[in-house]
Amino acid sequence: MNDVENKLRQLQFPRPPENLRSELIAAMRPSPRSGLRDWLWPSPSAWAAVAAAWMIMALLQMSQRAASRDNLSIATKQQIIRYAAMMQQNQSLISQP
Amino acid sequence: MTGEQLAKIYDEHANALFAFLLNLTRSEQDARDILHDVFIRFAQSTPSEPILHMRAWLIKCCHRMAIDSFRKNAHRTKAHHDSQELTDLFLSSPASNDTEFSQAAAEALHSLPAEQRAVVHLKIWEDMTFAQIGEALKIPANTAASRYRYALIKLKDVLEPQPHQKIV
Repeated sequence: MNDVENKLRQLQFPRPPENLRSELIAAMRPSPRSGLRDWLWPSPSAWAAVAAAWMIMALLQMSQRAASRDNLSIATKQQIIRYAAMMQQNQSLISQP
Repeated sequence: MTGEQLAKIYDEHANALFAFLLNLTRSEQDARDILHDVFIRFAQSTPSEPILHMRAWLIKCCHRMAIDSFRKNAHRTKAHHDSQELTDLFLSSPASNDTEFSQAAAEALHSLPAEQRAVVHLKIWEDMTFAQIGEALKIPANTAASRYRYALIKLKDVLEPQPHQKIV
């Protein structure tokens, strides 16, 4: 290294501003939450479980409704057939002398 | 990463990084902002592979962000650039000769292109090899060496007393 390099090396640079360190450390702290997020956040898994339970209940209810609709339609068809048969019997009875 | 871990890394590297950024930008505000962003990004990042040389890794980030900052501010007019007051690059020394030399050195460094200034800084004040400098600045080691050589010629022209001055 020559003279200029040596002289340059001895020069001192200013330090970073004092408050920068504390700012960075503060930025690393978890930020205080507020409102709905604060209320929900303590137990996210519990809320996920509740949501899953709601989904299952909704699916069950939908499937039950579909089943009852099927049952109803079967019953209605049978009733119509029975009614038609009864009407036929009535017709035959009326047509008899 | 916790605040304590970040504080430890900051204490080890912040002075050197700030000096590098100050030399590149010659603006305390810009150097401060870039340093802040570098540490925040570092704290939030999850590197895919372990960082072997923390200083080199941080210098690489600082250099990249300083270049980005130069590009962003490229729209500033020359008049604005000229009117902007340059931050003192070196701490003042009680010895008057040192003060003169430090002022002359700051001006000479400022007159260098940024890419040469970066190489000079890493070589002289960080004592890095040209291979390390090349890796940090993403340039071949030979390019780093040439930039250093050209920069040193210019610095010597300004800072080294001429032969006739020595005689007098």
